[in-house]
Amino acid sequence: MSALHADMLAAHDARDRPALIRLYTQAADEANSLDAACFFLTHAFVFALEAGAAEATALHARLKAHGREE
Amino acid sequence: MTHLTDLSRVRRPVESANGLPNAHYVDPAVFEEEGHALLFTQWAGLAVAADVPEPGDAVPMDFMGQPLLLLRDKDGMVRVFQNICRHRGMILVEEPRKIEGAIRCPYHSWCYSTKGDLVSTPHVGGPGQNTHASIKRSELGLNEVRSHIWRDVVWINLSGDAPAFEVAMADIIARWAEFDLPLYHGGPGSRFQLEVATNWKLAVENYCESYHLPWVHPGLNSYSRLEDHYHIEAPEEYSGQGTLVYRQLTDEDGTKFPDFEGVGAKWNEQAEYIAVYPNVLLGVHRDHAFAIILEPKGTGHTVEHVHLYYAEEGTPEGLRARNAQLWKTVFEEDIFVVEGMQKGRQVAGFDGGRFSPVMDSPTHCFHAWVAGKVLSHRAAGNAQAAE
Repeated sequence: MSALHADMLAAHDARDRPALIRLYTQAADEANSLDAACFFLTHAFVFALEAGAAEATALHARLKAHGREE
Repeated sequence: MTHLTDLSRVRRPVESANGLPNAHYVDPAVFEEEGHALLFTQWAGLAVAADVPEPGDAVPMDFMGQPLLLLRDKDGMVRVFQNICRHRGMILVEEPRKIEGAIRCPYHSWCYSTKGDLVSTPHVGGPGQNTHASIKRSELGLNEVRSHIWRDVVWINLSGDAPAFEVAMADIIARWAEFDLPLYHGGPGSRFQLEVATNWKLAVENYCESYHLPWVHPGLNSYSRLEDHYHIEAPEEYSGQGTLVYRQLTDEDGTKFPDFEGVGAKWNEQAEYIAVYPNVLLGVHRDHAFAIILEPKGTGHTVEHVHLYYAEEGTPEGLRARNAQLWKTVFEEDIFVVEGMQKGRQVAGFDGGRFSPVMDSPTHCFHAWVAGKVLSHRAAGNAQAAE
């Protein structure tokens, strides 16, 4: 298991939304395909939406730019 | 078609009427029928707005088996939604909590704004693809339940087809127009709940008559005698009682609660206690008010949610505590009678009892309303069956 994956699981267990936003964004940035990146971006966006976090705007814009969001 | 109960004697004039038959208190089938006839199709009390004081506050509630979500949206408006996701019907919010941003369904993470708009449908078009032509977010917001705030009570009309609240409640709103002023909840010490082993209707019936006061509340006799009370009856809408000798609570140093501004001399010593059908018990005085939401939990199980209000913020805490204790004592004194009447409804062949034509007319007024609504509901069911 990669360190990032382990960190994600720990953040899920702790329901640490700021960490989830950060880690899924990191996973998107490190992904090796657009589909994989958008998968992770989606998760980061959802957790940002739930948290009312400022990152939601930029994450939404990235997804929309790839035709993955309204 | 055979009906669950015979209500013909309930609708008679008070002199010859009987009370509601036993089944209206003990039979689950009648409880279910009344849920539709008396609660879903009317403006029923669900909660108070003070239950969600801040934007984002969310409280899941169960009303007659319906999972609902009481929520104050980000702009401060109190709303009631069905507490389920439009995707797979999953319960959205399990415990009272603050919604910081969006409501995320814990199943597939569809997200809703605090106004109920569907704002995210992750992977709905495949992994990382969050849109699909067939999933129109504008059509899939949370189902909002019709609601209205009056006297801080959150009233809901689950069927969605009752007349507008201001129309349905026009008479009581007009009656208490002088009290149509801001209400300030007294805080944690001014709310309490009573779990009562009774049908919710018995709590209404006991509340709206003064006949029992000298026997069940002897402490009131010293200043509030039976002859100081009057009946309040608005057929099909509400009934209750008023007193002409309300005395303000005072602290050791003579401090009183401030009056509701401009309520007028009429209310100097007058107070009214009204059961607004179906399930909300309200009281008004020159210096405080209360609301009791009756939560029907089963044929013989009711939770009374009691809330006390004042004319201003920051009234003396000690005085508020004394007032809360005073009312709690009164309401607790009523428990044995509503529980005793509930037990009494197990006696086979009880005819519903008879009313004092002089003293029990507010109770009869309520029974007549119940019977009328149930009969209308049955007639509508018959008409539907005949089609």
